[in-house]
Formats: sequence, C-alpha cells, structure tokens
Amino acid sequence: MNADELIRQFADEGANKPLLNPRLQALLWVVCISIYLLLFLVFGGFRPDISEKLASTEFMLELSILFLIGSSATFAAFCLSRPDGFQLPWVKYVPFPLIIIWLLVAFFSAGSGMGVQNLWQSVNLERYDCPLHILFFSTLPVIVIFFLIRMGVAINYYWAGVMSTMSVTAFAYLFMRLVEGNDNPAHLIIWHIVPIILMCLLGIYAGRKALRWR
Amino acid sequence: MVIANKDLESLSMLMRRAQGGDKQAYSTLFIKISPLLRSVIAKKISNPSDREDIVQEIMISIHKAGHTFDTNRPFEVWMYTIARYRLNDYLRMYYKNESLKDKIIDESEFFLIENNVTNDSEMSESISELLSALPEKHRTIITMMKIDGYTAKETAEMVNMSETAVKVAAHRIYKNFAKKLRKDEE
Repeated sequence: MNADELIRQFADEGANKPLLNPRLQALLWVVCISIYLLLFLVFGGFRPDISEKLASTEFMLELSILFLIGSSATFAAFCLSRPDGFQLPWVKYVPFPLIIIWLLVAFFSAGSGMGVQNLWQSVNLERYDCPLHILFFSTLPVIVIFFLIRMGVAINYYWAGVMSTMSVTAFAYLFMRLVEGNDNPAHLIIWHIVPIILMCLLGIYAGRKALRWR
Repeated sequence: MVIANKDLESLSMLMRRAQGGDKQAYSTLFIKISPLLRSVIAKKISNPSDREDIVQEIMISIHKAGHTFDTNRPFEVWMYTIARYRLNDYLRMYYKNESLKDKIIDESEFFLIENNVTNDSEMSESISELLSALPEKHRTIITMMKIDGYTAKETAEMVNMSETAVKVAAHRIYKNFAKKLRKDEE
C-alpha cells in the first residue's frame, strides 16, 4: 500500500475522538479513589484514637501530604498516557520532593524509634496483615488505572507504571494510617513503606508488560 | 526540523477539525506531515524502501494515537515524539536482526573449524548419519549451504524460505549437530 492510499484510508476512518484532558481525568480519579477510601473506612472502621489524631496538626499534615503525593502521581500517570507526556516533562518528578517532605513530617520526631534494633524487632513481629490490607485496598484501583492509562499511548511505560502504582499506594498508606492505631515508626517502615516500595517496583515491571505501546 | 509558526498553527487546527469529524482536514493533515516525516527519516535511514516503510508506520501510529493529542499544544512536538519512538523501534529490530545474523555465521564457522569436518573420515561418517536423520527440507538446506557451496540467499530461493529463516534453521541444525557429535565423542 502506498502513502496516498493510506491517507485515503485514514480519511475514510476519520480521526479518533480525543481523550479527556489529563487534569480532568486525574480529578475524576482522585474523587473516585477518595469515595473508594471512604467506603473502605466505613466497612473497616477508624482507628480507636481517631478523634485525638485528627486534632493533631502533625497527623493532619501527614495525611494532606499523602493526599498530594497520590494526586500528583495520578496527574503524572495520566500525562504519561500521552506519547508526548502532555508536554510537561517535569510532571513525573513532582511526587518525589513531596515524598521527602512527607518522610520528614512523618518520621522527623521518631528519632531513636527507628534504630536497627527496633527495625529488626518489628520484622520479627511478622505483621503480614498490614501489607495484605494494603494489597487488598490497592488491587482493584491498580487494575482500573492501568486500564485507563492503556486507553492512551504510553511511550514512557516504566514511568507510567510506577506513577499509576504510586497514585494508588499513596491512598492505601493513607487508608492504613486511618484504620490502624499503630504509630511505631519501625512498624510503619517495615510493614507499610517497604511493601509499598516493592509494589511500586512491581509497577515498573507491570508498566513494561501492560502499558507498552506496540 | 523547524516549521514556521503559521504551519504549526495550521497543523494543530487541522487536527482539531479532524477530531471534530472533518475528514477532509484529516486527509490534508497527513498530506502536510508526510513530507516532514520523510525528510526526518531520510537523515537517519539510507535504504529507500525501509524509509518509506517507516514513514508509513509512523503515519499509522499517528492515526492510532490521534485521540491523545491535545489541540491546545503544539502538534509538532507530539508528532515527532511518535516518529522518534517508531524510528527507535525500527532501529532496535534492525540491530537485533543484524546481531543474530552475525551470531549465526560465527557459530557455524566455529563448529566447522572446531570439528574439522572435511578431513576427518570418522567425523564425515557421523555427519552423514546425522544428515540422513534430518527432515528433507533441513537436509537440503545443509547440503546446499555446506556441501554444494550455495549462499544462504540462493538456498532461500530454492527452498522457498526467507534468507533469515534459512540462516536460523541452519544455525539450529549446526547446534544440534555439535551437541550430538560431542556426545558421541564422550
């Protein structure tokens, strides 16, 4: 087939209708996952000391930053579902300074609570229920967001994979902070953050497998 | 590749009209971008038939990805990102095939030198046995390439296969031969 015939064929088929703007897609996603989070909280129940925690500025700041991490990763994921990354090449880096700020806010006061000894003790507690809860919360949204990203064209599929996973796991972490009454930093690192990091690494691999444009 | 601002605007505008259902605008868009793509690809690819294949491949990709273009942004960046992605795809495949060809030639020559096939009568006997056990098509490939001295291209024409397929088949047969001969020696 020569180029002229190809162009004629394209004209016959017509152009595809454009996707929603990534900002709108991200906004809808954040609304949906927030409702999903609320449903989980309604059925799962809040932590026993929730009223006390909600009065704490530090805790509220931590939750707000987590929300921002999730939202920025969502926007980045939808931008990355465009071949040109919505012409915002910096957008994929936005969650990282937020993660650093969150780590400082959440763990700065922990100090000695994070020693190797404490981390090792936390490992020995074998709290597999926490990563399982995170996984349980994340599985459906990850599948849905991967499906939504696949509706576009992801050229930077590794980044698209990790941002999609991060957009969900940030909300999963937020969910766990609202339901589990354990603030031990060693526990949070070993049984919440490490599994989330592993899930994000898996997201890179899944991005290559599921999001690559062929 | 630098395009005048006026053209850039018109490309975005054409895409906007096309996304709104204007088929004529869509056709005009592709007519306008095909020489741009050809000139970019011409700088990277020397083979004219490959060049045209890649240009068409890029045009198909642009058509398929049309729903991801935001008409408030420059069309040029979006289009060249897709072009670069497809060109890289092509180059990756090209170099992969080239390295496969080199590997096939290297390994078959290594096998023939290592086993001194032509001088050792015992070895020749073993090879005859192995040859007779092969399916007819494979036997023809090996006989033509290693006994009658035909090239892979000539063999491919005779057995109605692609040149690469013949080389891959020969490579596999050599590997099996080498394995069996080593087993016999042990």
